[in-house]
Amino acid sequence: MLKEFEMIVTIVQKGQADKVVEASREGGARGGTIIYGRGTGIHDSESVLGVQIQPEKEIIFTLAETYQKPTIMKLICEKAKLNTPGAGLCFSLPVNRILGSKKMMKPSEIQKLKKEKDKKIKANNIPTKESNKQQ
Amino acid sequence: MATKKSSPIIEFLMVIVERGKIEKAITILQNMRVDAQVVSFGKGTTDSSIAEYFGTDGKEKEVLFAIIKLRDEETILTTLSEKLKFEEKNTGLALTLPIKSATYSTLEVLGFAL
Repeated sequence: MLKEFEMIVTIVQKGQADKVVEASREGGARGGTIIYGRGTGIHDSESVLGVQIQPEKEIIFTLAETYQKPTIMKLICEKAKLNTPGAGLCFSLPVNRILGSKKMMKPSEIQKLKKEKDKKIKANNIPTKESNKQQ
Repeated sequence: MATKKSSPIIEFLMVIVERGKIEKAITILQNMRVDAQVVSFGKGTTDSSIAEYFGTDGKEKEVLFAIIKLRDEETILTTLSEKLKFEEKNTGLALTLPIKSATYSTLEVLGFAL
């Protein structure tokens, strides 16, 4: 089956990763991988009685199909409250190739398959989502 | 910081495997002269029903980040797939992400510097 993937990277305060994973699952992703890090942003430096506290971070890598990405990112932002300054950030990266999840494909190969699929749809007059909406 | 803008000649490689199995990937990459590697401990969050999709299970993980040459991508991924048996279920995951630009030193390490 033809699939295009995106890697969603979310960086949050320690302890918030579960919320992110929960949001990704709600959005249709199947899970993720968490690694631990240390923040150095302007909102990260805190000190108690003159002692600097090292802010611990959790970095969540979520692999999702391209069509799922907007929903997942929106849900992550809502659940982890990423609109609050210092709460964290979330961004996505395109995946060129992937191994261990079905087949690995180049973007050019994906484009080629898409064109072939479109041709078949046109040739056989198969109704698409767009044509159904127009009706 | 001086950066060198380039057409995509390098890529970011990520390998996610069960804890203890990353050594194999490191050896494979070292044999292919991929020296720019970082390994981090991670935690998988997939449950057993999901594991099939990701090729991993819910145990503790090791994540390897490396920068590879675009022209070596095919060979590296094929070798990783063969040696780490990514075609089998619950063995791990490897993916490549595009890199738009890099510092001069990065390109130097990879042997691209002028």
